[in-house]
Amino acid sequence: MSDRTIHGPNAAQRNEALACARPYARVRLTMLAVLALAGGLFLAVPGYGAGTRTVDIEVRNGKVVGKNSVRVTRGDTVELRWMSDKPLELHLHGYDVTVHVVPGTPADMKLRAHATGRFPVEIHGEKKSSGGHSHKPLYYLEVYPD
Amino acid sequence: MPQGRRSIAAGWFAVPLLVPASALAHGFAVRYDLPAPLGFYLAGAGATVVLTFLALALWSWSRTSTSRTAPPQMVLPRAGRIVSNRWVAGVLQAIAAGFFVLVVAAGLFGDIDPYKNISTTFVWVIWWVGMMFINTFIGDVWALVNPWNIIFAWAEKLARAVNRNARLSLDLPYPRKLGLWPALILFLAFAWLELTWGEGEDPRKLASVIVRYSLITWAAMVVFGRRTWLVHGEAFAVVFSTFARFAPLALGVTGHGGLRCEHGRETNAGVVTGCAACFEAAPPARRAIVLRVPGAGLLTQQPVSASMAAMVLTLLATVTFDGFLTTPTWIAIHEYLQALPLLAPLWEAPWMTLKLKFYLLETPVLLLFPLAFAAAFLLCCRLTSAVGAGATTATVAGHFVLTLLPIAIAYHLAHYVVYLLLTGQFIIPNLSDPFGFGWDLFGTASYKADIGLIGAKFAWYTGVIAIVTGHMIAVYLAHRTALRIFSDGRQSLRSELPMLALMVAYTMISLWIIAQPTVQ
Repeated sequence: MSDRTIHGPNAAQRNEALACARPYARVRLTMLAVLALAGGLFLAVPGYGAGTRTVDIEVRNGKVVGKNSVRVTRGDTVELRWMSDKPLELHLHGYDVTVHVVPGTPADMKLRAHATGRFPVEIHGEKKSSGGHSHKPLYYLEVYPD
Repeated sequence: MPQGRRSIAAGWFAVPLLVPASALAHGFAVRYDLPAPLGFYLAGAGATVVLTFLALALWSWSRTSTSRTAPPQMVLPRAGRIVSNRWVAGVLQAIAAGFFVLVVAAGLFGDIDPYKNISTTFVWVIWWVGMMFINTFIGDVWALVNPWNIIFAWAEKLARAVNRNARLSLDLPYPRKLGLWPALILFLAFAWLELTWGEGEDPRKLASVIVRYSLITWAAMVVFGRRTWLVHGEAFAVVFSTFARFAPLALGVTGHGGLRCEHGRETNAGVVTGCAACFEAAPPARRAIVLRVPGAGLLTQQPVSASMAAMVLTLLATVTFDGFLTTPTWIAIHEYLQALPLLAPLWEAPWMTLKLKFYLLETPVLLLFPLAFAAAFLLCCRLTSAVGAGATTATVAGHFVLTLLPIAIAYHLAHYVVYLLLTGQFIIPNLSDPFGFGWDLFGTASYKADIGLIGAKFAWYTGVIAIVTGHMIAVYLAHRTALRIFSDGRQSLRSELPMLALMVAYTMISLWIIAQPTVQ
């Protein structure tokens, strides 16, 4: 699971910089200003730190009930909550997130949508019966640019 | 839980009926492309039409025939000498042959997981997609690193070292009628393996195919001679060198003074350009690299042969077919054919398997696509020859067919840019652990692909700009070709209209495909 979190300006570091600011006060102050500016810019980039999308998805007989894709915007925090009538191992390609779903309990795929694209979710652990042909993706996560 | 099991069984049973067997569409790996939004499609389509008309208007106003002069080129003899330097060539050849052996060995003996085995990523992404781009945008590098050629040439040298009179090849005369047809047939077989087979991601099967193709190639080299087969039968030498006609750099032979390349390549200002076989046969002092305007190599003084025209049309068709396979439209056609009552007895036959069903649906279309392309193209050539007096349909076809290539190249770029840059990253861990045995030769074994390396917007802009640019290059080349064939300026302008209409249609199809969601 490689859920990328983007770190803003670090509060602890800033405090430390203020605490021993005596000898190189000017240098430290400049550094702080640069850091704050960078952090500010980072937060100002539209899309980043945008909304959280929670989607409930029900799988019945190895198929998704209803719509088989969700469209989010880059920077969103996405939470796919899986429910299934039988045990499943689900894998989100690209973001490389795997969850095991047990009937009766929702299983969460949580990620920060840092990369755009159309990412398929597939059922894993099944033997492919006809070469590469039979694994049609179960679901798509579509991350659009902001 | 018998009930649960029954429902699973029912689910399995339902799957083949409800879900059309869908293709992986590329030899290997998942694609993450987002379809280009409607706005991009419309902007691209609009620009295509408007720019084409602007070009036409411009040409009809100014009736100068400056385009009749040959495009400028620069001959670089030193570059030719560097490329054919014993050490440079030797190292290049050793690397190429080394990768070839590594890929086959990894395919045969490595991990069967396609992501852990170097063979799949190397063959489908780095070589097939990457090499094509290198050949298209730089020059015919494949001619210098072709492992089938290198290994056979080494064997020839070895035989001569053992016995001075030993010859590996029988050098039987190659039947002229065969032309490039052997390469075309082998390329179609490859296209089927890439697009329809669906098992190219199995390292074992992939390696076994490579071994078989190698045996065919080397056997044919024994029969007809190495260079003869490279020019006529080695599918990838033919395909890659066709794309390399677009490239700014070409292999050249100087001092040919009036002599013609016997393989049908052009002689521009006394330099045989773009013929790898002539380059290799020439003494090093006469080898050169030719720098030219990109696309200039697609203009020919003589019409290309019928088999070459067929080869180009097949390339155009398979490039489009590749993209078309992943569109929802194709899935709908699949579903329609599967539901057709006429075909029902076939689908329900006891010997029918899911795989066979898939092959039966897909193979005819793979073969129909080139035929449909050829039909549309020949119809346009017919119209052109009817409008412009003094050129038969065959001559027109032989002159114009290469001018369509830039559209295919541009579409190829649009289609593969994300795939190459994202999926291609798998080669980084693979290089450290080519067999999947848990090695870490270069410390990159745990590298994870950065899926954020390029964004969707970059891909959309690249795609649309590439396709419109490719279209305009094609239109320009068609105009120059028309000027060359038809002496009358006005007549030549009218005669190129059918070709421009075809180009607009082809470009529209390309734009339409990149605006479709990828269904795998």
